Amino acid sequence: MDIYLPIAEISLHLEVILGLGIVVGFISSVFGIGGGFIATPFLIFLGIPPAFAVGTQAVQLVSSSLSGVLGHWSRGNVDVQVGSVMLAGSLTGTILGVGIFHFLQYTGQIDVVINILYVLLLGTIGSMMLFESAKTLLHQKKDEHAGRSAFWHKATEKLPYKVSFPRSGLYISAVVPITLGLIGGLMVSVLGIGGGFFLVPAMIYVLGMPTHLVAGTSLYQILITTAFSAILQAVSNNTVDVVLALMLMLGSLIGLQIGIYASQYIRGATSRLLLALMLLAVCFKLAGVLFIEPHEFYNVEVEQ
Amino acid sequence: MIVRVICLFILLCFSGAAQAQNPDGFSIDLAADHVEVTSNFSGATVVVFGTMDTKSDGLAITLKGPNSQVMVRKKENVMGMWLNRGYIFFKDVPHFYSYAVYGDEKKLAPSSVLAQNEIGLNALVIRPEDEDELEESIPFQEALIRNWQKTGHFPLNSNQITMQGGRLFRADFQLPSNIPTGTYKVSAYSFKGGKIVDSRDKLLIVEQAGFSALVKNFALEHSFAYAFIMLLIALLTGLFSGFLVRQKKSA
Repeated sequence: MDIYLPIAEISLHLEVILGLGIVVGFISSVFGIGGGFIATPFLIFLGIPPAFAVGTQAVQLVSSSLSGVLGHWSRGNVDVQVGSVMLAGSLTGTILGVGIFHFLQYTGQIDVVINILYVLLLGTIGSMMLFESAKTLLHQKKDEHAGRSAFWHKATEKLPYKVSFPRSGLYISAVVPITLGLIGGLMVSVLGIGGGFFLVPAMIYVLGMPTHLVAGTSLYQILITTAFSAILQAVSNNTVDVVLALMLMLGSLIGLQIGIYASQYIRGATSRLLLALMLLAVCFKLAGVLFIEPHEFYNVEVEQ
Repeated sequence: MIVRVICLFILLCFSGAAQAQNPDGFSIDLAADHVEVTSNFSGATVVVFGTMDTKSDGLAITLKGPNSQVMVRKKENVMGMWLNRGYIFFKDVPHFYSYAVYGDEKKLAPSSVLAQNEIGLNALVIRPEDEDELEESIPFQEALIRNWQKTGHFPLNSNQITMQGGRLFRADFQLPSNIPTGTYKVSAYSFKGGKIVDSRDKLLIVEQAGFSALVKNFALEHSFAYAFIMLLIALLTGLFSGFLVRQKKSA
C-alpha cells in the first residue's frame, strides 16, 4: 500500500516505512541505542530528501529516548545536573547544526558530507566494538572496571570553570560536558541521530561518570535536544513530516516489543558483536556509494 | 470508471453544444480538471477528450507540469571519492512533461514545427539560467532528461491519441505517484498539411486534498502548533512504549 507524505510530498510504500520502524525499535531494545544510524541513511536511500529525513528522525528520537529514559528515571539513574550542563552545549550545537546543514545544502555537498561522517563514525565505533567484543568472547574476560582514562584526566585537568557534580561524584571543568553536548547536538541536527553511541563511552572515559548513571543521563539529554531540534526544524524549515514520523514511531513500538523477547536470548558480548557487525555493514554500504564509480554521474534537484 | 463514463457523457453533450455553434470545430476538454493528491495517492490518469476538426489531418497533445528552476550536479572523482563538483542551473523546466500524437509523429509535421511548440521529447526547450553556459550544459541537459525519464516525469515514447468513432478522440496520460503539485497545461494542436492550423489550451490543477492538504496547510500556517502537536504525539508514544516495556519486564 502506498502512503503519501504530505510535507515531504512523495509517496512511499507503507510496509517499507513500518518495517524500518520495526528494525529501529528492535535494535534499540536489544542493543540499547537509538537506531537512528540505520533510519536516517535508509530514509535518504528511499528517496526522502536529507533535510526531511533528519528533521523527521528528530521526532522519532524524542519518542524512543523518552521511552528509554523513563526506566532509568524510576531507578534514579539520571544525573540531571550533568545532563543539564551538557544541554547548554547540545542546544547550541543543534542551532549550529541547522546552520551548517543549510550551508552544505547550498553548496550541494550535503549528501556527500552526511555520507563521509557516517562512514567515519560507524567505521570507528563499529571496529572498536568488534575488537572489544571479540576479545571478550575469546578470552571470556570479565568486564574491566570502567572509568576515566588517565589521558583524558590529564587533558582536561587544566581547564577553567570547575564545577562539582555531587550525584556523579565529579569535580570537573564545565567546558568538558558542554563540549560533549555540543558534539551531540551537531549529530542530532546534521546526521539525524541521537548520538548515544558516541555520548555513552565519552561520558564514561572522558567525564569519568559512574557507569550506572551514564545511559539515563545521556537519554535525558538526548530527549530534550531532539525535542528542541524537532521544533526548530518544523518551524524554520518545514522539514518534519508528521505522517512519516507516525509510521516510524508505530513500527518502532512493535519492534521494541519483539526486541524485548529477543534480548532474553542475545546477551552481553554477543549482542555487542552483532551490533558491531551491523554498524560495519551500514558503514560499508555507505562507503560503497562514496567510493564505487556511480552508474549515473548526474543528479537533479528542483529548487523550491 | 463510472466517473469517466459520466464525464464522457457530459463531454458528448458538451461537444454537441459546441458543434451547434461550429459544426466542424476543434475542441478539447478534460475528464477531470483537478487531480487530488490524497493520503493513498498512487498516481492518476489524466483523460483528454475532444473533437477533431473535419479539415485537419493530424493531432498532437502536450501535458506540461509546473515550471521550476532545476539544478543538475555532476559527480567527479576527487581523491578516490565521488563528490558533487560541477553544476548548472536550468530555468523554467516543466517538472512533468508528456505528449500524445495521432498517427505517426514523423509524418505529422516537419520537426521544426514540432520543436516550436514543444511537441516531442527532443523538442522540449531546456535552457540554462546563464546563456553563456549553453554549450557545456548539453550533457547536464541530457542527464536531466535521463533522470526524469527514470522517475516517470518525462516520457520514454509518445502516447497515442485514439479515435473513438466519428470525430471524437481521446488521449490518456499517466501521472506517477511522485508528481509535483501545481498547475499543469494541456495544449492540443490541429495539423493540416504539416502546419499547425488551430490550437486549444486547458489548465489542470494537481493539488493535495483531504487529510494530506489539511496537514500541509496546518504545518505551513501554524508551524509552532504543528511542531507542538507532533511533540505531544511523540511523547505519548514514548510514554506508552515505556509503559509496555516495564510491564513486560516485570511480568
